[in-house]
Amino acid sequence: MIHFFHVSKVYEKGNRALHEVNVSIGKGEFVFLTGPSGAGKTTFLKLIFREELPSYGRVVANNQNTIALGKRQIPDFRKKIGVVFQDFKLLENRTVFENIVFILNVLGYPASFLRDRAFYVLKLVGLQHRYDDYPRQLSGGEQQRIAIARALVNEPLILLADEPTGNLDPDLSLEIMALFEKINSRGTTVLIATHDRDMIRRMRKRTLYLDHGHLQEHRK
Amino acid sequence: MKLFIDLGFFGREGWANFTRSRMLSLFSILIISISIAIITLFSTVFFNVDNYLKEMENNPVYSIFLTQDTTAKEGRDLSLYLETLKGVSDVKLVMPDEGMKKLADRFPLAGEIQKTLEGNPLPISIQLRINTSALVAVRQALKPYSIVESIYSPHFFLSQLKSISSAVSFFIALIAAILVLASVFTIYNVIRITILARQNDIAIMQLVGADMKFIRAPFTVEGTLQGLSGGIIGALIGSGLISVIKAHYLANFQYLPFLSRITTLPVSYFAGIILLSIAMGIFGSTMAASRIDYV
Repeated sequence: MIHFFHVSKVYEKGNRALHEVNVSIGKGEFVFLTGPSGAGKTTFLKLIFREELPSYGRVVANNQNTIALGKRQIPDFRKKIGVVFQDFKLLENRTVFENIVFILNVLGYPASFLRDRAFYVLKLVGLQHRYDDYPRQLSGGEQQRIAIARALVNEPLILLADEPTGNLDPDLSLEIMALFEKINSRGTTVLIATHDRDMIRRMRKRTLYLDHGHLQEHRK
Repeated sequence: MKLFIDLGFFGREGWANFTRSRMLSLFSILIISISIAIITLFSTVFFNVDNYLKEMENNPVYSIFLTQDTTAKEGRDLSLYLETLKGVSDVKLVMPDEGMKKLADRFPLAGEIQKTLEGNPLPISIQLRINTSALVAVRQALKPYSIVESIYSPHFFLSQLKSISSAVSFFIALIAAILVLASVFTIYNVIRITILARQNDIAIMQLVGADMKFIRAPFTVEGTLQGLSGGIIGALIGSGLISVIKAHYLANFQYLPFLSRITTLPVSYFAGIILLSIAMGIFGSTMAASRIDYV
């Protein structure tokens, strides 16, 4: 499902984020990506949903080489990937409900389906009662859960999450992880970048370690 | 079905954008309104001049000037004869006093000339309309009449007026083109500013997989709404100005009497002007939105 072939990423001024990364993540796998701050975790995720392109090597996600993707193919490629961004990336001038429904709108779902589906995912993250609030009215943890709900709403083939429990208390973190497992059990490939070592230990999943751009792997 | 869902989405998003960036929208509408008001004014003048010229061309008014010693009875007899000719209509005998009065009404200086001359130098004349196809026959019929001094044909005046009119039309078209360009440029810039203000939202939309049409089309709707609003307001202001100018300045304008009969534009012209403003909105905003690039 996700393959990195000799991938290196060098930013401007020679700042190397990833170095010769080779890894494959199969369909339906649940994988943690961990490492210290600045290790290249976010870059790793950005390369998968083609926010960034590799400087060397190639990234194949969902059988598509991200370098070979034409500009017009990018939206369709991204529609199959749900992303929970570290900074949430919620649309500030839209309500929680509108943030969720927007994804369904751009995917062309019929109006009758939007409301039910949006409330379904909001219920999954326990925030159905905040549907009419704007992101600025929510706490960091609530915004994070909305970002998770948005990533799940169209049942993507791949789910990428960058520190999805960073702002959540331990109980809620467990709930969210259970939710990710549930999504994973339906066949979605889940890749979670996190600092939370306790969570990784508890979940006992395949874990990739990044350190200064170098990848090591620890199987469960 | 998908098309209707998409159109509904574009409409809702476009309207939301339009109301969200209220001040920018108002600025754009103001510029378009001014442009469209000026275009409406010019179009009204052009439409009326054009109609007047067509009317004159299709039904020209000739004047037959009789010799100074022609009596009123001879004038009346000739008028009656002319009425019997084919292709002749609206025959009117104009006595010297009436002729001078008309002249003085149009050109006040003519009254002074009369005082200087201590008498009315104008002869009896006959005004009439002659169908263009009957013109040669009428001239032939008048040949035996020695009391006919000259026949004034409006064609020279008409051709002069036409050449002035076409020069003015070109000038009006040039100004209209400049105004249209200025409006398109304004819409383009307003939408560009709006796009820059929403750059973060646009990036998020792209990262979650929104097609470019879902990002660009609402901006086109926003520009279209600006064009439509500006067009309606501008057309109303323009026709209101015409009514005010007509009532206050043209009612007694004697040199070009048709100006006092100036009419507002027909509905089809208004529809055309509003379509033009919508087209300006679509063009300006589409150009601006097409510059949004992929993240």
